[in-house]
Amino acid sequence: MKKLPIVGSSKPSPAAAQRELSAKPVRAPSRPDFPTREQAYRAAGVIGGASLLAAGLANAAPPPQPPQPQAQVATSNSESGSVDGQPITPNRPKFKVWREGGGIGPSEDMWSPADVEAFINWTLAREGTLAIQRNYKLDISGTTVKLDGFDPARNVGYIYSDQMNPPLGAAERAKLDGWVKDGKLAVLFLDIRRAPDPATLQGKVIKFVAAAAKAPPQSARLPVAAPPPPPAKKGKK
Amino acid sequence: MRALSAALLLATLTTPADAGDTKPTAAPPGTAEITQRLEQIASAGSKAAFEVPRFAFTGNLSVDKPGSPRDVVRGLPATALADPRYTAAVLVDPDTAWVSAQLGEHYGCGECAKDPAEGWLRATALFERAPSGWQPVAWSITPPIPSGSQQEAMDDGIVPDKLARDTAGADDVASLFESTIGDARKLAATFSDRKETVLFGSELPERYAGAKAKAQITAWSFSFSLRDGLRAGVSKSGSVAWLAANVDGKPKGAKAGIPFRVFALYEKTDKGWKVVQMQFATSV
Repeated sequence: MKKLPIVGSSKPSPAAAQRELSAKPVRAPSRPDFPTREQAYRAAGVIGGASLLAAGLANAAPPPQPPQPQAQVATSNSESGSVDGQPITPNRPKFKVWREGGGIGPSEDMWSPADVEAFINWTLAREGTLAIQRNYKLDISGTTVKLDGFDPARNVGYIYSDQMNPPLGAAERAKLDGWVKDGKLAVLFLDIRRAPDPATLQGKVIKFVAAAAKAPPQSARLPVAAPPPPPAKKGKK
Repeated sequence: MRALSAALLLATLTTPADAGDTKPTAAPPGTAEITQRLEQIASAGSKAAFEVPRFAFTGNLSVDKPGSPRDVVRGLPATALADPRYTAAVLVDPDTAWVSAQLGEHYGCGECAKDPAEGWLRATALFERAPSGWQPVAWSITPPIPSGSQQEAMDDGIVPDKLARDTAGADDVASLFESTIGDARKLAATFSDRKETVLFGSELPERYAGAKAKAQITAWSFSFSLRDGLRAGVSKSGSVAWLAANVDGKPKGAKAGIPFRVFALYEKTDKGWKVVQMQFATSV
């Protein structure tokens, strides 16, 4: 039987002589050198609270929200409309839809909801000469319903939803539908199930504005939801 | 128009506007003012005065009986510029003209002609000369809509606004339209041999001019049926008729029809009325 050579401590092996092959202890898991789908969504600002929960970050404190100036109502007398009290610019906001993703599974259409909402706000303000206030909260018989854009003087607004921004809950929708049916306000529901398209969004807004102009909602000011109480501070004993 | 598929949507997003017709159309002399008039009216920033047309498809709106200019210009861009490569204008007689154009949408631009268009509209319009200048009789100025949005609209049960029936003075044109739309070959046979004949489908690449227009109607092989009313009228000269309708287009073998709005111009010839312009649009 032929004896296999034994590598002894006195004689270094050829591999040990090559420094670049020397083993180092693993201190952390390796990271992919390409963007993951989640990173791409995060970069686009697409991931909302629900996805954060799913990612196990639910215990992270949400960033403080700036106070909403919705109590100070701007009138919609501007010839070209306004958003949050600022007259709209001549330049129409733009948004992009691109294919991205990767990892396991096919790439997807992606967009920034904030950019799409800026486009909708501008279009609604321009076409309806409305004074849009963003993130307006109505109090419907004790239920708070948030509209993504609303003109409180005309009672005209919209709610945007897509894959990452779920539509209103059934109870809130039922209450809102009741008010719409009673002619208290007009709401455009923009539910993007594939990918947003400027011509399509503009078309829907224009049709909505034309219908609201033909049969305007009542002008009575609708109740505003009370702002949430400030977070309680832990007192020191 | 041809198929509501993701592949076509992708093609729409990536294909230039001239996929259906790659040959630029030179404007014949004397028609530049018609194109300029169209640009002026379609530009909200120009605040142009014009007589209210008898009918208008503007954007997503079907304005059956316009009451004021405001009714027919909702949603039009600050500045609309016709792409000369895809503009065809014809003076049929000294007082009647039509124009077909691909209009670039511009907002907040200085020298708009130098800027790339932010979007596109396809325009088909009939004009008549009046003491106050060229005035619109009827038009269709609508954006191309991707097939994905069209499918969503169909899923949501969105259909074009109902039209009334009023074909006073153009009953023969209405009758010709109704008797041919159910058969692609019959419909194609009513198309003019004019090189300025243009067919617009509902998506951006779908522009077909001249003989391609007639060929494409046959290639689509849609069987159309009238959804509701029908609007039609004739120019004062009697040489051109306009027609607007909501139709359901059924591809071969399909169970359900796809809702479209269609606007057409017919020219009176020795061989009868011939289609010189046809524009399909989606309602969303």
